[in-house]
Amino acid sequence: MRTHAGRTLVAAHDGTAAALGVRRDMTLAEARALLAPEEPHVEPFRPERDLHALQALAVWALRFSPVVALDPPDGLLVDLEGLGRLAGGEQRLIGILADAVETLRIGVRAAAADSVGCAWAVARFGHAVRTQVPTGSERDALAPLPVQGLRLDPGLRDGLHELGVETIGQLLRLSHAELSARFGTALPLRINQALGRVIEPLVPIEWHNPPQLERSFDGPVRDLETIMLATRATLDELVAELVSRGRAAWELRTELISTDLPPTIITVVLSRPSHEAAHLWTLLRPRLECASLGFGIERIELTATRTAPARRDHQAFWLESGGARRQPELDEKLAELVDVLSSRLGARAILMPRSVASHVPEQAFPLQPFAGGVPPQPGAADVAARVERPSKLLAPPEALRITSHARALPDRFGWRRDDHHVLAWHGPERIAAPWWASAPRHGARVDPRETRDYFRVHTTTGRALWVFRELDSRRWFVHGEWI
Amino acid sequence: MSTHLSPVRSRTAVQELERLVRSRQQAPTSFGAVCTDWPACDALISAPAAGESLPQRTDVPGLARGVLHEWLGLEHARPGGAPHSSSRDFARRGTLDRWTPPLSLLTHLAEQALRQPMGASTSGAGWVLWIGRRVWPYGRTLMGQAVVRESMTGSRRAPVTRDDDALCSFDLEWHAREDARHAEQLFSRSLLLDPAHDEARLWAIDGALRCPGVAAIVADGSTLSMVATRRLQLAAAEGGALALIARPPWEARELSAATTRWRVRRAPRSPRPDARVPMRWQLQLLRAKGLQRVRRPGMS
Repeated sequence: MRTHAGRTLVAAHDGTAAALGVRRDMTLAEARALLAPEEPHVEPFRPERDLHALQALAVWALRFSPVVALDPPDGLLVDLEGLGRLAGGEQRLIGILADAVETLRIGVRAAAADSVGCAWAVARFGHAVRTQVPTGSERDALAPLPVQGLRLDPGLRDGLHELGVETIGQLLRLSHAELSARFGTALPLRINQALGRVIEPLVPIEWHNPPQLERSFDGPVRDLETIMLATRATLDELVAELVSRGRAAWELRTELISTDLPPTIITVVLSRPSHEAAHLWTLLRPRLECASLGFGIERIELTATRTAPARRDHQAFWLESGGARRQPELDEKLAELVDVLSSRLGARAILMPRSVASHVPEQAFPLQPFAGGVPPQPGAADVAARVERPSKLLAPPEALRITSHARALPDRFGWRRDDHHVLAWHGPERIAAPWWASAPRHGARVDPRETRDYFRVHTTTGRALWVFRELDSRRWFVHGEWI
Repeated sequence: MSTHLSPVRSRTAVQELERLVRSRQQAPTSFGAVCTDWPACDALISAPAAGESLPQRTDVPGLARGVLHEWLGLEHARPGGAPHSSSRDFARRGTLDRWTPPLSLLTHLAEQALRQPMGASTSGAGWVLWIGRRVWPYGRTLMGQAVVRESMTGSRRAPVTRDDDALCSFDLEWHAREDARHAEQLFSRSLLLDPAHDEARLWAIDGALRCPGVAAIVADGSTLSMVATRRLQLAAAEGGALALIARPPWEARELSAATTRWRVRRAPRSPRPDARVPMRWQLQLLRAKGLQRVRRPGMS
């Protein structure tokens, strides 16, 4: 579904829905009414995700032809020139291709023709799901199809509709000169493209296999040292390969293929791309040492599954001045440190503070895993920036016992088995709980929905505590300390 | 297998080694110092300026980079009672609550380390690593909400009393900062590390100290042995970061390879509170390696 002018419309649907009368650009409410009592599965329409999937499908289709082009939003153009004989005819090749796509659970209409325009029209508007248009019969194949098959602008299509021209056959009977006078050059160009009179080049997608190197042993090897040496040598070669391509590894996959066990796969993910073999090795080696070798390893495969453009070394010449260490270099060193730390401590153990627009002290500064050298912006700092907060926050807040009152506020209280004599109170600062706060868990000591009055309390022992009182229940808690 | 060297060749090899060792001993790499912005402290402690060898050395005031500084934290003590009398109760609650590092002071020092670039050899800003959950300050503290200044109002203008075992002691105060805008660097350049156990923590501190991209380290140093501190000292000498190790107050008698050792105490309040002075701590220098004589201005 998609939203247009405040209405929710159907952007795409499946065959079952079509059989019940659901059409594109129908409102969602109407579609639901048609499908009742079944509740349809509805998802928001995200064109960029569709395009991404189409690209993935194009890469997949490279197994049939070296030239595959995208035809967004829903088409792929595959150059089958000279490939028909491999499958025993183009008709059979189309069948194989369409069957393969259907095994991916994707509905497909396929057509082969000598021109891109003709194949486009027949695939979308032809009677059969899989068609092969023989050379020379484009005109016959196109004649019964509607004019939309010529890839026309909506304005042009409406213009033809006004004239009563509905099929391509009707259009072909008109003379070229009249058409260009009436509709400009776009329409004759489309007609010529469909008939194969104008060459239409394909822009094939570019695809590089991820850099991969492998090393086979003569027989199964169980000696860890040998495997380490071989992996190290392969890694060096892989890095040399990456450098020659101007890339740096972001994710490295090592596969140890053994005779009897499924392959051991070690994936090393870096916090920022690196083309330093030594650094990659420090990350890979401890993982390799723990790998199970089974009855022996026969082959080692190293793949740089994710790469990024390498930082150019010649940039360093311009940045360098008097041997000073520069910011990028420092950040790179830190990224290497983070890689090493997270490989042992786990990625969840290396965190960065973030600030969130929240008045609730527990929620104002959440922690997030380190995001690869990109310093987060202290975004919503304004909310919390003007208030004083303790340097240590207790989680959860700890209850305190009031032992004696002076006027409205207590002057003695017990906390953590200690008696505290109050010298001074500062406050209150009222922090209202957000109304959307979750309900208290059963037995929770602090109610997250309570409004709190915070005070800074100075005691005779020199402590400065951050204390609050729940507005309704009148219970007191210690929430932090200036320390 | 032993290689056979002629006597002459082996002697030259030994001489070469001696020369190498001597050159390393004579010119220890200096990373300079971080000015603490506390006059009493800066007057006491100094380090050779970065990149200079011994003969023409000029000292810069402050905490030296590339060496360990130990900070004994504050205990959750019972007034009047022995601190350890209730340790059983605390142990039941988990050891996390028995002591707290002096977070405001350490934050102040880390901020100073970030603001002062590491000598002439560096022109970029480094990072601050907080290792161990106990030394993680509340996020608001990292945004520069306050400055910790040496107390001027107190009766004790530093350095003064030579009570118990301290070389000197003076008071520090917490002041809310008027404009916090320029102090957000620390917030965006802090990494919080949470090693699962003591061994991983030692390893993480070691690795972090060796990294040249790190400007300062604030680490939980509880239960570190003498050997461990020596290892950390070597690591610190390699990276040149400001190494602040927080230790529990009862480890004051533990041996350590640290260059300085400081103790932080809560300064007791007078019964009539001064509303303008919010928080105050007493800072004591317990030990300073290489500090020959404490020179006290105003005393002869």
